[in-house]
Amino acid sequence: MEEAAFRDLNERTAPRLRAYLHLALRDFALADDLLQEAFYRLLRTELKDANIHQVRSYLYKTAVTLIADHRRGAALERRRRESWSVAAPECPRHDLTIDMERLFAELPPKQQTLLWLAYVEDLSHRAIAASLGMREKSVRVVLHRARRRLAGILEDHGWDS
Amino acid sequence: MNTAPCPHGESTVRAARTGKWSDELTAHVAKCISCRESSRVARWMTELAETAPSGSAPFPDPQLVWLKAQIRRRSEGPERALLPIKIGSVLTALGLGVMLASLPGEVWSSAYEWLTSGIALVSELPNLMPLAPLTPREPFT
Repeated sequence: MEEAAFRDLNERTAPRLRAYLHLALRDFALADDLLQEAFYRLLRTELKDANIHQVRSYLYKTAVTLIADHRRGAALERRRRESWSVAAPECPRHDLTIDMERLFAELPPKQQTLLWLAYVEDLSHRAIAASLGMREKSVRVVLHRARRRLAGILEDHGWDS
Repeated sequence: MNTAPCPHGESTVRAARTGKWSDELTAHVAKCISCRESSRVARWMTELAETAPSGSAPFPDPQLVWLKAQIRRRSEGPERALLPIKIGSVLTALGLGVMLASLPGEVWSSAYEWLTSGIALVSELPNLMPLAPLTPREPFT
């Protein structure tokens, strides 16, 4: 991939991916690290003749894997600290008082990702299935469940339709 | 669970995101619970994406990401080049192991006999050596 093409691709895909990573991780620095890692992997993979939807799908697939790896690593680290009975240092706090973020965080991570891909990135069920390693039918079911749950949360908190 | 999509679902989501509603669609959404939910969620998600905070750090410069990727690719080059050799070595070792393991029992027992007889022969070597020092022959006359 040429640099100009990469720059164009980055401009078109990175802002939303960064927002998603931040919402999932609630850590700007970590979100930026994973964002860059996702783009490194994209450059290394050299997707041939891929359109923007396929590239977007690849980036989210990578991002979801990176988030899962990070969470696994963080859980291991937490267990290790607990086993040594050493108090873990407090994670840096960010401004999480924004209502929308707080409401979104009430959803399980998988439902968050599905809703983001479907409603923000406008990916088809097939593309979502490819991104998350799920079956298309499962995407439909989980997405339906996620939508109902979010709609319920919004109603409970007085977000009008 | 009824997850059958409403035929108007896609157009409802599109309208919710763009704000362009036709009278027909507006009337449908007023009656359809599924589309009402979709509309609410789609609008909320769009708003969430638009207002998602980006933090105080500037956006990672794509040029920098590009350059770092180039550097990383170069540093990974030799490692990648050696990968087939490493894989080949592991496969050869595995193949050899499988080949040895698949040999019939007789071959193993004969190899064992051959080895033990070889060891016995080596241990007998000092006994075969002459005890007295060799004396030079008398020269031919």
